Amino acid sequence: MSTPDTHSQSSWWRDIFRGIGITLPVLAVYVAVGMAYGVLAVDSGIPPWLAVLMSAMVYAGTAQLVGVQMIALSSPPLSIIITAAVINARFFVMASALVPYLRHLTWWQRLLYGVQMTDATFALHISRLPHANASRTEIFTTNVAGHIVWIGATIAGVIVGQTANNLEAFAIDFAMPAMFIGLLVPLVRGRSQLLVAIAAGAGTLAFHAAGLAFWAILLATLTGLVIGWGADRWAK
Amino acid sequence: MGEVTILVTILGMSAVTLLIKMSPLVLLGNRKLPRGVEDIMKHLPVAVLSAMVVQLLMVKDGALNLTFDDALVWAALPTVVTAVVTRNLFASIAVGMGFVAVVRLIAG
Repeated sequence: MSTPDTHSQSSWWRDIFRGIGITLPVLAVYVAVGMAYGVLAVDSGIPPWLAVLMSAMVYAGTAQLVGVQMIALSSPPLSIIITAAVINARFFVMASALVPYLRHLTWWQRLLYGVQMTDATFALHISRLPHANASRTEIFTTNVAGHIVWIGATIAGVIVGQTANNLEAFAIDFAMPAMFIGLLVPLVRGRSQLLVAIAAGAGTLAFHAAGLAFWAILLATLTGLVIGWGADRWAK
Repeated sequence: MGEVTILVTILGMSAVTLLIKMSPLVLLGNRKLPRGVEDIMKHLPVAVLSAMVVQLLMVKDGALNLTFDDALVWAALPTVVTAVVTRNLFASIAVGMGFVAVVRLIAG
């Protein structure tokens, strides 16, 4: 009989350090993107505390950036909420894919996991959990660290954005488009996905030209989905 | 947009997002999604990101801007090339922002 308390405590710390180590590249990206979001949010006229609240409560980068854009355009709140639902609908598929590997968690732990799931932490866990025997501590270290760093980076961005009110001087106004291009390009792997990208892009222009500025992103996204689905059926 | 309206919007965004993220983990158990839904949803990231890029580059103050006189629009080209070649998010952002900064420096 060795000292069980000391032993479990040291394995607890080991799991935390392992979790942080696995998550580190994601955390670095969150610092940059979270700050850029904070800068963009105050630049778009969102009160700083609400920009931070969105990072804490929505915690979904793309939906937040779209939301900020739409708030800046004074889009109807319902269209912003529906757009967030459409953009985040992919999380339903992703969460479903994780169900088999999170069955050892209690229902409220799975609920907490859902609150803190992101594209990146999903990618980490879906590639790790089927093979490695990851502890709850390690799993939630990844999720909690991501959430904390995202909120912290937003606070930093909000502060920077308020002091540096000339974003053009630093080309920060291109940070967002550059990030989306950098995320988009690796996802376009085949002809049908290229078609989806072109359809959604052209759709954005078309719906703006048609005077549907508030709904353009939502409608263009749906257009892209339909075109992609059609292209897949055609290819079969 | 007023502060209260923005707060309500954020609470609504949070509610739908949390519902979407949590419901499969809490309710779904072990069942799989219908095949058709998965087939359509797999295109979502590409569709959304493409729409976002076009909106950010071609829409200014809520109106279409197709004049191509903005450094941002042209910066998309070196950014896409960098993304295709390196597949690296940081490199894409750095090259794109660097391009914009240099063009603005030269143009004054």
